[in-house]
Amino acid sequence: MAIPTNIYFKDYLKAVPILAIRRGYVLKSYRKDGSAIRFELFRSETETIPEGAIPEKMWVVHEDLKEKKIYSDDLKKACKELGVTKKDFEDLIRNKFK
Amino acid sequence: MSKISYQIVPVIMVVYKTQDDWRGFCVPYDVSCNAKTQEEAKSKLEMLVKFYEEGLNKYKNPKNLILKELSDDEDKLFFNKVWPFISKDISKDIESKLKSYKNYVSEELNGDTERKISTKGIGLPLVEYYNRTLAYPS
Repeated sequence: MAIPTNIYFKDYLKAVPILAIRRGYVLKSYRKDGSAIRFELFRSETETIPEGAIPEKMWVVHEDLKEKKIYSDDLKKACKELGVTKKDFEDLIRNKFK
Repeated sequence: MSKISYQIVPVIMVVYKTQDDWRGFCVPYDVSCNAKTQEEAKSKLEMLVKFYEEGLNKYKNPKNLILKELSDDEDKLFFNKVWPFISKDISKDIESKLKSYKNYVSEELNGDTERKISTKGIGLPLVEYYNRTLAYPS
């Protein structure tokens, strides 16, 4: 069952770009209506995205302004697309943002 | 001249009641959301799916971004239970459209058809599902 985790949305937003770089991706993210975010991961040798490149991974999340915490399924999606474990994600947040 | 062929996939959005909240998910994009009410779940899901499809359209619907497995185990279980009912309903719809090939092609390939069918009567906590189609280069 999808439940709120103990990870704040703001930390999730900071962790995704860091993990993307660690995994060799270039990240592009877009916002819509203030609460939806689309993440696109590109495989690139450099920090720029080659023209005409297609993302290797893509996912969307809804920012719950009341809960302020990320849901377990959105965390799972990020881990799956970035190729990291839940522990990697949590460790990064614990070590970098706390 | 190179030949491009297209695959058509049904895009299915399901909204259902969980123990405490409402939940929406979309197959095959693995888009999902949680909400306090059914209406909220429906509108959140529609907004997220539209946003995901904007991304798909930007890159001309690449297969690797379309066909994704559901991340949430509960959604997966739920979808496996309701899929037989949904697929039957889709077959019925296709059959009726096939009576006129022209109608079928224009409705399916324009991608603007959206069906809303209540399946409350099947004994599952499913509220509604929506189905539309998407064509992608194979």
